[in-house]
Order: sequence, then C-alpha cells, then structure tokens
Amino acid sequence: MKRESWEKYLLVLPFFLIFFGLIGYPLYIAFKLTFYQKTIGLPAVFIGMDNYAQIVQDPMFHRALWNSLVYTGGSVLGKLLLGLVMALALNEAFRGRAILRGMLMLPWIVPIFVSAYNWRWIYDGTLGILNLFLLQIGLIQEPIAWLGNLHTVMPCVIIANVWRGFPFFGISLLAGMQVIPREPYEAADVDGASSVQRFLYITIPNLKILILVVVILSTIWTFNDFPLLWILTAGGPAGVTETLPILGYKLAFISALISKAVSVAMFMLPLLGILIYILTRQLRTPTAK
Amino acid sequence: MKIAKTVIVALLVGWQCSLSLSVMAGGPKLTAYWQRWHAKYYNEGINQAGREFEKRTGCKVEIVWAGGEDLRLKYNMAIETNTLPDLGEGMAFYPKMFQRLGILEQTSDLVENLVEQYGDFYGEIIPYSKFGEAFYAIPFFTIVEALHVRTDRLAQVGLSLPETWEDVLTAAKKTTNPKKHIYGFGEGPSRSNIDHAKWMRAMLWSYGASVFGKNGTTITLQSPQTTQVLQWIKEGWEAKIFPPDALQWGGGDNNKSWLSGQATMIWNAASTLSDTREEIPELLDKCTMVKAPAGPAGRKAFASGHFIMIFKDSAYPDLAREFVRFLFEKERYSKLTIPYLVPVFEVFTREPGWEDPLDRVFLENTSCIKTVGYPGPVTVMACEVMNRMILADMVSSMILYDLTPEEVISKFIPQIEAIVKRWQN
Repeated sequence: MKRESWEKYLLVLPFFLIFFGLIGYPLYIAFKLTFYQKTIGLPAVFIGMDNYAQIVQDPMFHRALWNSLVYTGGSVLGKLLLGLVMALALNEAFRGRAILRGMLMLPWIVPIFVSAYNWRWIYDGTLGILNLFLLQIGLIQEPIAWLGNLHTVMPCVIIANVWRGFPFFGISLLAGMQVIPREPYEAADVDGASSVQRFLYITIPNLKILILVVVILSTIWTFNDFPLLWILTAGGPAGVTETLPILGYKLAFISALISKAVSVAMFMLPLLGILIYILTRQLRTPTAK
Repeated sequence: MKIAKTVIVALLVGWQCSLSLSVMAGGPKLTAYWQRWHAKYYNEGINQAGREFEKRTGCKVEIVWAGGEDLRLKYNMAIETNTLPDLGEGMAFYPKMFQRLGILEQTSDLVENLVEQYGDFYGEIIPYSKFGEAFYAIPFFTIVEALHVRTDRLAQVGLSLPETWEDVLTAAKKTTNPKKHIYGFGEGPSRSNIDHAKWMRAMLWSYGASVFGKNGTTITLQSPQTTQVLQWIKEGWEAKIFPPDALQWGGGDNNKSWLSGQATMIWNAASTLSDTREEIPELLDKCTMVKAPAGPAGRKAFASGHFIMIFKDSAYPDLAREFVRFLFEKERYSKLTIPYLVPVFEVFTREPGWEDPLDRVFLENTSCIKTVGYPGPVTVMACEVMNRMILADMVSSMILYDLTPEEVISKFIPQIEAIVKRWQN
C-alpha cells in the first residue's frame, strides 16, 4: 500500500517538473520582472508598479490594445462564419467530398510564413494579383495599396488570418455536426420545417458548446498572433496594425526594455485567463462530454 | 538511491572532462557572430577566411551566421546569459549600444595598428566606433548610397540629371505615370525598410534639419527645415511620385522597384547596381548613378556600415585581434568588398575593380556621409530613434491621416522625448 502511494507520486512527478519548469517558474520570473526596470545588459532596478502605470498612460498601448481587439474580433467572427459554411457544405453527401475536405485543410496546414508571403504578394500595391485582377475587370482605374491604406490594411490582415484559420473551425464543427442524431431532423422534416429553421433550431443548439470551445481557442491564438502580422505589416503603416504582441516584441528586442515588454504581456493575461477559465469550465460540463 | 546519485555525478564529471580535453586537444577556437549578407561571395569569403586562418595559426574559427534581425536577438540573448562570442560583427549601432554596457574590449591598439598599415579612414565613420578617446570597434566596411537614375526617362521629359532635392521632386513628378506603373521616386516611409530611414535622414540633413542637436540630447526636430522636408514628401505623395504601397514595403522592395523598371529614381547602396549588372545588364545603358542631391545645407548622406567588436570576456583576445588583421590583408579584403561595399581605408579604393565611373559615385559620396546622431555624436538615443523607425512612422502618419507637417512633428516629439528621458535616467 505504501509502495503504491509512493509510485503514484512518482508517476505524476514528470508532469509537475515540466509544468513548474516550463510554465510555473518562467511565469513567476516574468511576473517578478514587471516590478523592475530591466534593460538588456543592465542590472534590474526595483520600481514597484511603475511599468504598469507607464503602460496604462501610454497612447501606443491604447492603440495596440484596440488593434488587438479589432483584429481578434474580426478574425474570429470571419473564421466562425466561414467555418460554419464549410462544415455545412461538407456535411452533405456529394462526389469528391473527401478530396474537397483535404483541400480545404490546406490553409491550416501550410506553414504560416508561406501563407503570409503569399498574401503579401496578393496585396502588393502595384504588381499584386488582386490589383491586376481588379484592373482587368475594370473595377479600379489605378492600383490600390492594400497594406498601405488606412482603411484597407486592417481588413486585409483580418482576411489573411480568416483564410488561414477557418479550416480549424470548419473541421471541428463538421465533426460536431456528424454526431448530431438524425431523429430531430427527421421529426423537423415531418413538421415541414425549412432548412433555415432546421439549422437554427437543431444544428446550432447542438453545436453550442463546440462553437464556444473553438471560438475561445481561436480567440486566444489570434490575440497572441505574431508571425502573420509581422510579415504582412510589421504593425505598420504608422502603427495602424500594431497589436499587443508586436508592441511587446518591439519593446523587448528593439528598445531592449525587457520588463516593459513583459508588463505588456501581463496585461493580456487577465483577458486570456477569463477565456481559459470559461473554456475549462465548459469542457468539464456533462454536455461537453 | 545514493549509488544512482554517485553514478550520475560521475557521468557528468566524465563528460565535462572529456569535453575539456577535446577542446584542449583541438587547440584554441574563436567564435564569431557575423551578419549574413545577401551577397553570397561575401559570406563565402568570410567562411574561407576562417578556414585559412586556421591553417595559418592553428586556431579554429567558428562563424555563427545570422540575418540582421536574428543577429540582434542572438546578441541580446548572449548578453543576458553571459555567453558572448570572442568577437562579433554587426551594424553601426552595435558598438555604441554594447560599449555602454561595458562588454567591449578597447581596441585602440588594433585600430592604430591598421591605420599605420593602411592610412587614414575613408569617410566619417569613426564616431560609430570611437567613444571618448578610445576605439571599441573596428570599422569593417561602409555602406554608402547614391541616387540611381533612369536617364532614358529623364531624356523623354527633357530634364538633365538632378543636382538638388528640388530637382529630384521635379524629375519624379514629370516621369510619374501610375497607369503604366511608373513612379518617379522608388522610396517611401515604411517602418520595415531601413533604407527609408536613411534617405529621410540624408534629406533632413541636407536641408539643415536634424533629430538631435550638437550636444546629442537636445531634440531639434521641430524646425522650419523639417517642415520643408515634410512638405516636399507631402507634395510628392500627392503627385504620386512614390509607389502607393511604399508605405508598407519590406526590406528589399525599393531594390525590386528599380529592377522591375517601376521607379525612375531610387536612393540605394551599390547592391542594386550589382544586381542590375547581374540580372538586367541592358538597363545599364539607360541609367546612371548620381551624387547625393544637395539641399540648402549642402550634400549629405547617411553613414552606415559594419563593425567588428572584440568582447571583454573573450578567452583569446589576441587571436581575435590577429583574425581582424588577417581579414584586412589586401587581397582578402579587396575580394570581400569589391564591388558591393565601400572599403574603410582609402588605399583599398585604388584597387582594380573600382575603376567603373558608376562604382566611383559611391566612393565620391563617402565624402558627404554623416553618422546617425549628426550634427551631434552617436548616442544610444539617436540609435533607438533610428531602430524604432520613428521618422518613418511620422511621415506615414502625415500621409495616412492627412496631417500638416507641424501637426505631425508635434505628435511625434513626445516619443523621442520619452527615449531621451529614459536613457538619461
């Protein structure tokens, strides 16, 4: 009995070592650092809450926070809508469905830098294919600088993110749709329900938990997204697409202000923490199981 | 449990000993961080130099390559973890940043030694490596820009080569034709393109404007001269002389703009000329290189370059010095620099390979280069303003939000003030 309890702890030890070594301890160090002024190469000086106070008053932080919310909100909404369409289409039986399923997964599979550079090329202000296409069909008379225009740059980066992320929504929702029992649909058919009504009153309620889970996961990933934005705009022009991760990167590695950068990251924690809490709660409910 | 502990400790000690013995048996080894250049011959030349140095001295040289952005991260990590290499190479801003941290070895002896052998430095690059009375870095090569001009397009509109920035604006306006994807001036204010920070500074200085004053800490950006420059850019933007996506260009997009025939003029280093020779030699008959355009305060160009630094904690500082001297040996150094990079000693510019009049324009422009803090010294503040591309953001904001030059200058002064305040503290 004694040996059994000893073994029990031994078996969970690797998890705790990994958890505290790779997450707990670095998080503690990072949190501690936010109370210091730490520039790369110079000793850390204790300054209490000054980093937070400075960030809260910094207009660049306000702009980055707003940009993060717009980018995340727009992207997740786009991915959800497109993912739902994809799932609904692939839930129907038709020839070539398996091939189409594979093809629609491509944006999700392609390495992020490859898709980012492709989007750069698509959006190129003079020789990009989007401009060439619109010029050819006569919709525009002169090329548009998609990534250099105040009004188009944010929608453009959101579209690139939606394109990359919607297959995750699509395939997850498709999996959810395939386990919905047939009976409610058959009953709805007998009652003469339209396809829209079936979708609204049977499909959506059955997918509610799954939608919540994928939305939360995607929100966390998109909020932290760095490479796509960095390659497409580096937060420009003039900070119009500068999100919190980009601001943090610039503070840490261009200005060498490690502690201020970590403080920016810490500001993201409460919001992401709430989302993670909701996610874990939902995953523990009997419905989710 | 005790036995297991003893075995683990013994294994670790054994492993460490074998590692140390193997290093001792292999002789000394220099580790050097080096920035990868987009000219393959240069990268290969440095690797080759490492191999030849080992043959001559028995000291192995490990060159650790990294791209510009990665090199910055590499240095940052090495500083924080006390794992700096023996020596390292990098952009002009590094020596000042690192000297301030006290991690650089003084190298005045080596610089004096090189000057004795090759004569004085060519162009104003010393402020990047000499702080106070001592040298902390060795200038390795200079990057000098020249105005690349499509003579065929200027001839079409009956204009001669531009002498001043006003001439550039006139020529750019007259040759712009967006419907044919032709733009007069293939530069812009993108925060992702360091060349943009260079041409804007060249222009500011030639109009008598600057970010910092002579003492290096007073912010002097708010001036009628800066307003004049911003007005030039605004007027140019409205006349569409800049490619529309120049606000968002990446690193080499101005080069592409030239090579694709989109731009009538660009402000660039010799790399574009070299690419033109290799990729589109027929373009050489239709273009020329022009000296830095003049403004009311004369001709100015931005001085950048690469510097070699020896780190204080190096186990082999003498071998590191020897390796630097080895790189400067005439034949080796000429092979590395011709025709891309401007040598730091005048004597090397007399070597065969620099006779072409197009290449000589870059050498001529060396006479008007100024360092980042001009008219003051190179400071960490000036370096940070440059690295954070604050001028690019300022110009972009003026264009995007249709602000007046005065409005946009006032908007960006606090950002520069914050940098000064932080470094002064």
